[in-house]
Amino acid sequence: MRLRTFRGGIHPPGRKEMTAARPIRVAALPARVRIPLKQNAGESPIPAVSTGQRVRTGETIAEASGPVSVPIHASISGTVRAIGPVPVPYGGSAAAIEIEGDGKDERGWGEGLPDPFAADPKELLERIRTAGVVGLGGAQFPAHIKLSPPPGKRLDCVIVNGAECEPYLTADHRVMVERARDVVAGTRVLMRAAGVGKAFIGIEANKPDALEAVSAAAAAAGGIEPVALRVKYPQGAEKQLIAAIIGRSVPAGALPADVGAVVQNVGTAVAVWEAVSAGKPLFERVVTVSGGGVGEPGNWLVRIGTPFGDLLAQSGGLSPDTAMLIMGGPMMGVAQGTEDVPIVKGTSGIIALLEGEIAAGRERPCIRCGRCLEVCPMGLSPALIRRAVEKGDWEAAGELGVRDCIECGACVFVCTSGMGQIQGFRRAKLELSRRGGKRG
Amino acid sequence: MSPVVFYSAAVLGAMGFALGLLLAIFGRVFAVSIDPRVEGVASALACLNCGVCGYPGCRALAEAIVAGKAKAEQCAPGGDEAVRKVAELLGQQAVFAEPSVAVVRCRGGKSVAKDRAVYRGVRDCVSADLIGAGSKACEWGCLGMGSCAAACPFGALRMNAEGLPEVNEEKCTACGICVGVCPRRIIALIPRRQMVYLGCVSRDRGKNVKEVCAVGCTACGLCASPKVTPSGSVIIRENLPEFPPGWEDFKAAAEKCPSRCFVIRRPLPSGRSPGADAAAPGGTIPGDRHAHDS
Repeated sequence: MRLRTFRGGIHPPGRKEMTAARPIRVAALPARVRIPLKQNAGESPIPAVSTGQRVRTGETIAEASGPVSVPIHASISGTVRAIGPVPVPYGGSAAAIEIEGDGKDERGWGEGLPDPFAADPKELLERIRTAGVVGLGGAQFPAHIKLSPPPGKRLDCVIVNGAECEPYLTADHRVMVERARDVVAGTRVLMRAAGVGKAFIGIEANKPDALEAVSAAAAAAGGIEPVALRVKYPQGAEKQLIAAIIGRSVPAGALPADVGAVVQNVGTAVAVWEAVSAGKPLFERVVTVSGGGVGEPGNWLVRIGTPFGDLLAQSGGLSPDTAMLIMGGPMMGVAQGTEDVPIVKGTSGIIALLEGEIAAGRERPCIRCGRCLEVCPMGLSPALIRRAVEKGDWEAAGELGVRDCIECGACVFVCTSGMGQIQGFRRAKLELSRRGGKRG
Repeated sequence: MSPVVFYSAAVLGAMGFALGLLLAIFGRVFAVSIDPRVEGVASALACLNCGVCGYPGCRALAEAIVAGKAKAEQCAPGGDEAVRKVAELLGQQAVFAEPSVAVVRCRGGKSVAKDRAVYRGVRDCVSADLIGAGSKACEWGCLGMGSCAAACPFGALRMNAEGLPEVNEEKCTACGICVGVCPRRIIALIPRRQMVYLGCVSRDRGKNVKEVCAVGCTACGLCASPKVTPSGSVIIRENLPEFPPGWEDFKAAAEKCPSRCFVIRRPLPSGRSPGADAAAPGGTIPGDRHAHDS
């Protein structure tokens, strides 16, 4: 069988063998959590608790502040100690609620729906929203917004993303193997909430056990088709996944809803299932801890707000030779300056890389080899955009389509001159948005 | 004479006359009236086309000034000279802008401010701020990659050995480009008559500031105490002292400040263009690295 895929892309070393076979372990209850308020794309929620207040696990501690915003819940039971800025993994500081745990982990959330598959789609969307479900792949976009497209746009399929194309990461892989039934149940809920009769679960072919487990679970449910995808990065990027599975291309500047699709991560599907069937808010997630700098790599079910350091300590400690600590995968993740940042809803992995695992060479001038053009999954010309960026000609970068760059880093990976383009591209996007210019 | 020559000359001559007449008519009908003052005003401005005023070039500003939509003081590089000339040309009362100067409100150089990580990205403050905010542990402090110095059209900023920008007050026209470039808003414009400013913008709590920088304001409040500042000009707000530009009894506060946060500028000798260093009276506080060299 020919495996489905998209145009362009690269084949970085997977390095998933360190954790792929390791079952998800439940991390120790943290003594203290710092839960950042803004864990969703859109508006920041507003605190609903005050210092000194007692909270139970799963209780709402911050309320959504607008349509594109979701509530935040306590991830342990205990006492609110502080509300203020703390270092966050996305860089800099942001407001967070600090809870000192009492070790009791008292349940503070309500009941689920008796029969989610018969529930009103509106009720499902409301449950998903109040449970604080956002995209767990990393973008943290509120799930209920994606499922309710603006008037005039009609969805016809749900795509559940189990590609997990980033090297090192195996959290989604383990979720699919161990919780295939929940993934499928979550997919059914997503279909009902979005009002569609068709769903695909895209899985890269390097995870045969996940494909088998999901296929077995999906056989009973109607309209769900597991799809084996070619192993290629960035197979799990939204637009690339849509192109690979349903063969539609999302136009520049448009959303998946414009081609009738909605993409959700497998972890998100499980969170959706837990939200509607058990009433359980999103206060824990599966995180891969891996890389040469970690004593004992593994996959953990961990509470939101747990410090990176806590989880690294349980994973056999962080090697002093660690050259780089990353949240997320090595391709698109965010480098960290400290272990004292909390795990957030978008933390798919914590990767500690040794010097030998990083290709940090000196930048040399571009020799126009054109490799970046071949691999760019968005069909852009990174070399030309880079040239415009170097000159500070943001308009030209915009005309070359820098706004469509998904920052996957494929061009950086293949660059023979060791150039790091993405930062400049991000700068160009910022400058263009500041100018408020129309799309070129 | 051959009739061919005659006819040719007559036809071409008639055509020339007719077209010329048309040109003359159209010239009158579609004439664009140009205010003769625009030319004069444009040449009175700094003529740098720096764009500081917000108009696309000096000529556009000149047109706006003549139309009464803009003021000559918007031409920061032109300074008082431009304001005076424009007022003369337009027969108006000259309104001088208060002369300002850019100051760098961070003293956390390499030797005193801690780094929290090694930064490997593009050497540019705006880009660094986009990915995890550079290497400095202080979230408020200068990133030290010189975006401001690169942006200054007058060469009035340069990076010193400590990795901090220094303002050459003689060259600074207070155009404010550096203020907009700095992603952390560390550079500010202050009136030239203001003799002291705070070399720190961190609104962090004192304990946190101390952890990351030896010269950061910890908001200890000493400068605001009546013993140190009898005039009561200083109040602490959001972990930073605030004071008026005309704060007079600042010497004691500057000396008592445990982190030496206050920077005393060198007064400008009157009658000369700013920045004559050697003759400048008044001192700098001990250990002050902000005193610019010549």
